[in-house]
This record gives sequence, C-alpha cells and structure tokens, in this order.
Amino acid sequence: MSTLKMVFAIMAIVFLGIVALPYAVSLFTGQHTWYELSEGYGSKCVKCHADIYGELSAGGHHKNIVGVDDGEECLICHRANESIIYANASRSRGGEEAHAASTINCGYCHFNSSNPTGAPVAGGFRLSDYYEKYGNDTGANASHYDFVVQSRETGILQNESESCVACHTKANVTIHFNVTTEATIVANNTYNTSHSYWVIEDITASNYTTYKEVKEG
Amino acid sequence: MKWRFFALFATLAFILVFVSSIDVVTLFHGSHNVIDITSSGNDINCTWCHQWVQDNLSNSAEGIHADFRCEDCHRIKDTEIVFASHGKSGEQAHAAYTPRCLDCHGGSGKQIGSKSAPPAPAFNETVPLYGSDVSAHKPFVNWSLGYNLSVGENEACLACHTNYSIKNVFKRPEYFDFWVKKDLSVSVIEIGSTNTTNISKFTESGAKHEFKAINQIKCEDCHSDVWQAANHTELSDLSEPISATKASHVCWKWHHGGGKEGNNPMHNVTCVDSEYSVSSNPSYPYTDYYDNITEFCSLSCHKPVVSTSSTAVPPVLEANVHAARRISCYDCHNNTYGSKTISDGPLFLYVKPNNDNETPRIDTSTHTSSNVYPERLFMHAETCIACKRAGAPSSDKRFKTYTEPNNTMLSDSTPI
Repeated sequence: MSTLKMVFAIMAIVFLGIVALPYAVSLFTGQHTWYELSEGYGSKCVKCHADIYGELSAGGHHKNIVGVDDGEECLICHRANESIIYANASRSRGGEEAHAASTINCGYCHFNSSNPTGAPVAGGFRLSDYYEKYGNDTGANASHYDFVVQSRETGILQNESESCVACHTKANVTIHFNVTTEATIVANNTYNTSHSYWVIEDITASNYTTYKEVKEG
Repeated sequence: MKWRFFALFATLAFILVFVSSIDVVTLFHGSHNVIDITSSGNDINCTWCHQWVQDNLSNSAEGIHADFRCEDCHRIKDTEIVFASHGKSGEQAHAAYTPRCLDCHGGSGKQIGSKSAPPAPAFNETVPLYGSDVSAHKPFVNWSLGYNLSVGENEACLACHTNYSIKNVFKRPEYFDFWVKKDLSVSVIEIGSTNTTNISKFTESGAKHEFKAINQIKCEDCHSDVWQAANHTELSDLSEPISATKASHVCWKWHHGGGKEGNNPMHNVTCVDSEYSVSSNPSYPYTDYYDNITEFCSLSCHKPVVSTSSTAVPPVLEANVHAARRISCYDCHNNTYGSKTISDGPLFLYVKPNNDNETPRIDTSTHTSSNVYPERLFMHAETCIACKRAGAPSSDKRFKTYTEPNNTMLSDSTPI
C-alpha cells in the first residue's frame, strides 16, 4: 500500500470516528433515551425543524412570541387550533385529530380578532370577523382580493396562506402575470326617430401577454 | 483492489456525514421568515412581484407617472379607503387598491408630493356627471362604467392615454337615402342596415401602464375611417358653378366664383401637412398649415378656438369639453352665429391656416337650421355635404350618402 493510500484511509477512518464514536454503536443512536415531556416541546421541534426556527428568529415577526427563545413558540401556531386535541403528557391525553402539531392557516389568527395571542387582524379582504362585528372590513377595493380567495383552492398551503406567505415572508415566489394588452370595443351609432347616438355594445379584453416575476427572498 | 475499497469507504463516510449534518428541508424556504411591517407605511416592496408594472411606467412618454411610487396611486392618500398598515387592519383594501383615473384627475385634481395631477377637463365634473353632453367621448366614458375590464370608467381613459391596444368596431348605418326639398326640409326615405368598420390602434407593448403624451394622442388612431372619407380633394364632376370636392364628412370649396373663391381653409383637407394627407398645397394663399390630422380634426371642427371678443358664440362652442365636440354643421352655420367676420370680431381665432375667420351662414330666407335640427345628428352633415357636392341645386333632390369610410354620394342615383 502506498503512503498516499494509507493517509487517505486513515483520514476516512478518523472522520467516521468523529461522527460515530461519541455514540453507542447502534442503528439509531439515542433511541432508548426518552425525553421528559413536562419540560416542554419547543426544543424538540427545533431538533428537526431548526431551519424553520432559524427563519423565525431572523424574521420581523413571530419570534420570541412567548417571551423565550427556546422553540416553545412553535406551539403558538402549530397547536393554536383549539378544535384539535393534541397529545399532552401532563393531561395524559394521547391526541386525537393531531399528535404533536398541526399546520395552520394564517387567517386562523389574523382573521380572528379574538385570537389568543393578540395577533393583529388582517383586514381589507372581507375575511376577518371585523366585517361581522363592525362592518368595516369590506374589502370592496382590495386589489389582491382574487389572489387571496383563489389561493384557497390550490391546496399547497392551508386556506389562503399561499397569498399571505407570498407577500409577508421571504419565500421565493415565481408569478406569471397573464395580462391583457388589447381591448375590443364595439360602438354602434344607433338612432331613434329624432336622435342618433353612440352606444358601446361591448368591451372585451384580448391578446394576452405573460410577464414572469421572480421574487427572491 | 485495496485502493478501490478505501475510495468506496471514504465516499460512504462523506455521504453519511453530509446527510446527518443538515436540517430537514422545508417545503417553502423562507416562508417562516416574516417581513417586518412595523413602519407606518407600506413595508412590502410592490416591485418584488410587480416589476413589470414599473418597467412599463418607465417607458411612459415624457416620464408621465414614471417617477411615482406605487403607493402614490395604489395607496392613495386622502381617500376614504383605509389600507392595512402598522396599527391599522385595513378596511376597504389591505395592501392596495386599483384606482380610478378620476380619483386623481377628477374634481380639482390632486397634489401628490411635489407633483400635481391636473383635472381632466369636463370629465372631472360631477354635475352633470362627466360634464357637458357636447363632449364627443362622453358616451364612451359613461358606457365604460358598465364594463369590468377595469375599474370605473378607466377603460375609456386607457384607450386614449396609454399604449393599451384597442380594436375598434364601429357600426353605422351603411347609407342614408333622403330628400332635400326646395324649402330645404329633409325627408328620410331609408336608413341602411348596419355596416361594420374595424380600426385597430395597435402598439407593440399594449401596456396599460405606458402613458402617452397629450401630443401623441391621434384622432386617426381610432377614427381613420373618418379621415379616409374626408381625405378627398378631387372635385366633384359637375358643371354647376358651385362645386365641391368629393370629401365626405367635411365640406369645402363649395362657393366657386364671386368675391370669395370659397376655399375656406378651415375645413380644407389639403391644408393638412401629414404623412397621410395629399400634402399641403403651396398654391393656396395661406401661410400656415395644419400640422397633422389631429390638429385638423380639432381646430377645423371638433375643438376650434373660439374668439372671446365675438359678440355671440354658439352654445356648443362654449361648453367645456374633453377632447372633442360632438357637433353639427348647423351649430355654427346658421342665421344667428354665421357670417361672423373679422370686423365683427371673428368667431374663430388661431384657426390654421388662414386669417379669414368668416363663418359662412346658410341662406337666411329659406335655408334655416330649424329644418334640419329635428333630424338625427348623423343626418346633419349629410345634408350639407350632399347638397354642396351636387352644386347646391334649387330643385328637389334625392340623395344617397354612404357613411365612413366610404365617401360615395349619389344625387338622383348619379355619383357626385
């Protein structure tokens, strides 16, 4: 065996050792070490979803929502749905509709002025309870109304969350805007026994073009 | 053999380390990184998703609207609309609304930062809505309210003021068959069935956010059929001393002989200096020409400049209008307002290309506008032009006149 091969083999063994040696040699290291659930769940979420936690920490909102910075805030959203029975050790509850967490739509809190966290209401789409309560969330002039409402039908995220995430987060978004570049206008110089006058019989959009927009977070 | 074993071993080791060292990959990277919206204004950059709109705006002529922020139009201040912002949830709109052009250009206009949006004449009025009925395009504005291609009456604004392409489909009666009697009363025999003319105002981009300068708005872009009918300088083949050209829609050189040659240049299409025109004729004793078709359409008829010193001005010329007037020949050429001369105080000022501001009036003894006014407006010019092209005959005449873009006219079945 040449010197080079020997060095390479030693390096590989050492590297593997760094990774594997600290643990007992088993297929799934630590699988017999149980968490104390009464200590909370937050840190356990972060174990697998550290990237999401990293995003939350870097973002402008939703971080430190419970006053601590240990991942417990994950539960604020993902156990917010009060109609769902989650697993809960302290209550000796096994969970029904969900075990550890459920995904949630933004509107669950932000269209509900009675939400438990005091999250601000997103008005202007006629989707919040402000319309029922006060009649002021009419959304009558909202440019993005169709985007919000139609995103409910896509099924990528829950309800209208695709539209919320598109604007309010740094998620990458690619949008193809299909835009009319032409209108056909039908004008008829019609008349009666004493007058002639122009009537616009139709205005229709035509000749669409597509603009591709890439929003990079 | 050993070398291959070590290489495989090392590769597996690297893969194991790589896989075990990274986090779970989220479905939408960045979807939990929420943008800070705590300022009092809009913290979400519209151009992240709407860069194409800004690109269109930057192509606007003379920079119209190009230096505005998105919020200047789409989160306009001083409206009753409550937008979402820090501390406000939004009521009528969340992030933005689609404005009516008249939100800024209605009323007295609007001040936007250091810039001011001028009011759109006539259409900015509310009593009556969109101003006087004399505005030729008022029906267009009014009718556009009923279509949802854009909000409010914006379809009408966009059609002229932006590079948005328009396919115009004009429907008119194909012809009018009528008698003009010796007493100059008019009797309609038949109005032809509908004839359709397609006119395309096409621009490459078709962009609704590319605004045109006022001097880029050309009447003939949408009304080339009218110009096609009008742009005929060949004389009618008549032996009568009073003759006219075969121009439809406008009437000139009808008064042949006498002290005035009748080459009243006000309606004279040969005085239009345009790539579409028969070109200006230097043999005419006028020092100026209409610079283009639009200037001709406006100054010669649909928006002439009226003398303020004139003792009387026809009501249709006093009305505040937007781009053009819906007008009858008889509005100016009648017993009351005709024959305004320079000494009287000319009726028209700065009308290119002549200095002769006389407005010929119709015969005061028999030919009164009251004979024609009860007719439908589209008959008015037909009666004038047909009669002049026939040499102003004194006997009863039956005419058949075709509508734009056709300039054909028949007198007792004979082309004139």
